[in-house]
Amino acid sequence: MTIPFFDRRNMNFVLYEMLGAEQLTSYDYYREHSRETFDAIIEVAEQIAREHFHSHNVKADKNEPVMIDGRVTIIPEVKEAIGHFTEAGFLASHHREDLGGIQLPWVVNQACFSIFQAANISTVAYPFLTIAAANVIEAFGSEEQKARYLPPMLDGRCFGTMALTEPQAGSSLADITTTAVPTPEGHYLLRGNKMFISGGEHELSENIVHLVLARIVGAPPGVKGISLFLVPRYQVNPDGSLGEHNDVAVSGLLHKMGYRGTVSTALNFGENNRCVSYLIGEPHKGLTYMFHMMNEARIGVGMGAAMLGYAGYLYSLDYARTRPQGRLPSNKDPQARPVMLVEHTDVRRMLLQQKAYVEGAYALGLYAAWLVDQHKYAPDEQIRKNCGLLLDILTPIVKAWPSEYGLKANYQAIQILGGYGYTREYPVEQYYRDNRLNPIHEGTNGIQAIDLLGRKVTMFDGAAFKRLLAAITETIEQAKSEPVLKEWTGQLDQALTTVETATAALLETLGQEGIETYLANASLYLEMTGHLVLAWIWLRQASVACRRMESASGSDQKFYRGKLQACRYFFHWELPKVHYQSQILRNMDRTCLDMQDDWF
Amino acid sequence: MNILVCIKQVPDMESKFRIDASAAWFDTADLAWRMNEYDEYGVEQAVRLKEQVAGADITVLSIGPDKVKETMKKALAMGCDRGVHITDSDVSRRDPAEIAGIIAEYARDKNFDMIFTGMQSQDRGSGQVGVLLAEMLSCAAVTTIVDFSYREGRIEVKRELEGGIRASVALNIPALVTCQLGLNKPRYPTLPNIMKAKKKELLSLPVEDLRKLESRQQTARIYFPEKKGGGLVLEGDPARLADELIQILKQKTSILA
Repeated sequence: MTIPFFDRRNMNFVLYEMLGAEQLTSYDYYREHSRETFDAIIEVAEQIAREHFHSHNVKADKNEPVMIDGRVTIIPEVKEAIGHFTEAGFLASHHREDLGGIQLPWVVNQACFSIFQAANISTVAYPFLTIAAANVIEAFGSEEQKARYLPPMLDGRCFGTMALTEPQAGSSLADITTTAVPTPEGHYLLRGNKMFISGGEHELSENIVHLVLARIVGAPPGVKGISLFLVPRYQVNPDGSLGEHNDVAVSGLLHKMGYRGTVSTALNFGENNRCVSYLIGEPHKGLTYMFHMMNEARIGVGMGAAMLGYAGYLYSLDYARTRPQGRLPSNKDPQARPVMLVEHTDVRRMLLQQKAYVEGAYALGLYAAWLVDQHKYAPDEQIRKNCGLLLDILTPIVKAWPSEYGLKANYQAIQILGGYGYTREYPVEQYYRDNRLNPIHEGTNGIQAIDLLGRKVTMFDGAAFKRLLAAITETIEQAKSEPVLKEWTGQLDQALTTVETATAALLETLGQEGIETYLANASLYLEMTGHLVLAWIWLRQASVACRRMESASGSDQKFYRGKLQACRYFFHWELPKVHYQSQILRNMDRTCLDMQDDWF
Repeated sequence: MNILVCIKQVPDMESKFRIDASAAWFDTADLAWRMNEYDEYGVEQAVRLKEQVAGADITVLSIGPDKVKETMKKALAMGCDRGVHITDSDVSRRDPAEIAGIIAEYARDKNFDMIFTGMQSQDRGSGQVGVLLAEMLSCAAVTTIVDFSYREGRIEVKRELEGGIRASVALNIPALVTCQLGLNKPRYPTLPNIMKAKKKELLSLPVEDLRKLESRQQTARIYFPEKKGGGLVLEGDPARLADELIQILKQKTSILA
């Protein structure tokens, strides 16, 4: 099936040629699957995405949810699309068979999800949140909670949210004030306000389960006193039927720049002091549980950012191929036929930049999802451990890099369309607006930088960081013998040393000057490491392209040539940035640290 | 009730077609493939009939190389019970009578009560296979149906005619119907059903065992029609141009009667 917002050929390349996803079927948990089932499932995703998600992407943007008589009204196409998504079985797909799933590998799941994200990022946000919330309940909920809440969440009767942010506490979760008071019945009564809660209120499902971070009265201050609660919009009776409204009120809707089809709410819990909530797991461990959800959600956010960038790239590519404009500099004849935009080198530069960003980000996202599968189900314990370490250190990069560079890709897509791209008649401006959320939500990119340098680089005595360097070195060693790749392997090797040196210098600073100085330039560190990782991912793609090129013909050969050229672009135009970034980091540049408020 | 659905794997019609070296068919490299749209209506209607009639059993049949099994799996995931794959690497060169003959040879002793086919294939578009097959099996056929109902051994269908007219036709089974756009909205295969389809029977039969009829026609060549005429540029003073434009619109279109 040919769809304009998605490139199936590239998905097959990453999924099968680069990651070898078929090999997962040798794992016991995935034994019922085969390439055939993967392809059939992806085809269903393509069809539903095209017919029911992409078809109302613009309409949802132009008609954002509104409150009418205290109820949130959303255009009917959203419910219809999610209905098809659910009926097909995508909500439960990765779960065990006894829960109604088909034990689909997470990487294939993400590949399917990426099609929906490209088609309509705001509509797919509802199932995205529901899947993430169900994962937390499955991992940490009590047996009773699982029995009561999972079935309706997996068949679409109940949607999920994650309620972390409060009006006064966004990135700083340590400062949340929502409180939970224990009752003799064993549950808690919740009271507090939450902000920016996506999917917080709607009529798309019978019920909504909010996963809420709150403090049990008397809990220690800071993040060590935060617990996680399950709060249904309507109480659920033991037989599964819905009970009373649970005192969760919408105090307002947020009117956003993009993602406008996803309702964003301000919620008041317990205005009437009867908001019944149920503790998930143990008290004060809420943040740990929530991060379980957040980590997979962060991979999803990175994929979403890559897909919005990708959809813009494909649109601008098609536009550049069909829009005649101007003549080449060497042609001085004003009567000559104009050439297509793509004939102009500078337009090809903008297309190559997009291709390098979005195909790199896409491959990274699916690689991370593949690591999830390996971490959970690889038979070899050492592989599970290593993949877990890689996942730990890569998660902030998988979230932040695509959300930063997917947006830059969208910038170039608009640029290629010129004035038309700036109008609402073309989809590229919506992609840009939608994508602008991704550096902000699920932990801002600033938080990701602190997570990477402050936690992940040093965790387990640097084991995750060392594992990442080792994995990059392995790729370099494998690619070295290929003449076409020789130059790039050398450049990646240098960049690796550069990043390693900067990291060592920073760790020395941590001991000598403390955490403030150590983290002062964390965002730059994230960008530098992100570029190193993306260059690694590109070298992996180029290695596959090289191997396959010899026997390829026709469009396949052109596809592989395109891969090599995009890799070349990344290594020539992007990777060298790590050297000056490393310089700033090694110098312990204090420009930002020393800047004073009253100097602005 | 014993039901047969005949399906064909065709290229995605949004593909970029190129004529192949023989000039008698298109180059099949780099094409995406899917189930013929009209056959998909047939599969859906067969599954609905099965849901209505207890104990009904659906066989889905397709002719072609190994890759047609991908499309057959979709039909199995939509609800067909078993598949019959007639292996044939030359299917694209066979004429409609040959195709119908192969299917008839397979179906002759199977006592199918209902046969569903698409009204035509999207790639060749002859619209003959269904009716030829019915003739070869000596059963009644109704073409281009847009509505279908079944009750106690009798079917009622509606056919779409030109001029916005419809015809209602009733007939006894065994019967064959060819399915038209608008008959139904085919379901998506669900993920659990895709997994179940993997375990359904899919029998392969070599075409040589079933091919009894010789070809009666050959496609001499296929080609892209030449582009006719370009845009018409009118020049001159505006008043005369307006008159000229009105004349053209009257003569060439129905915009101005």
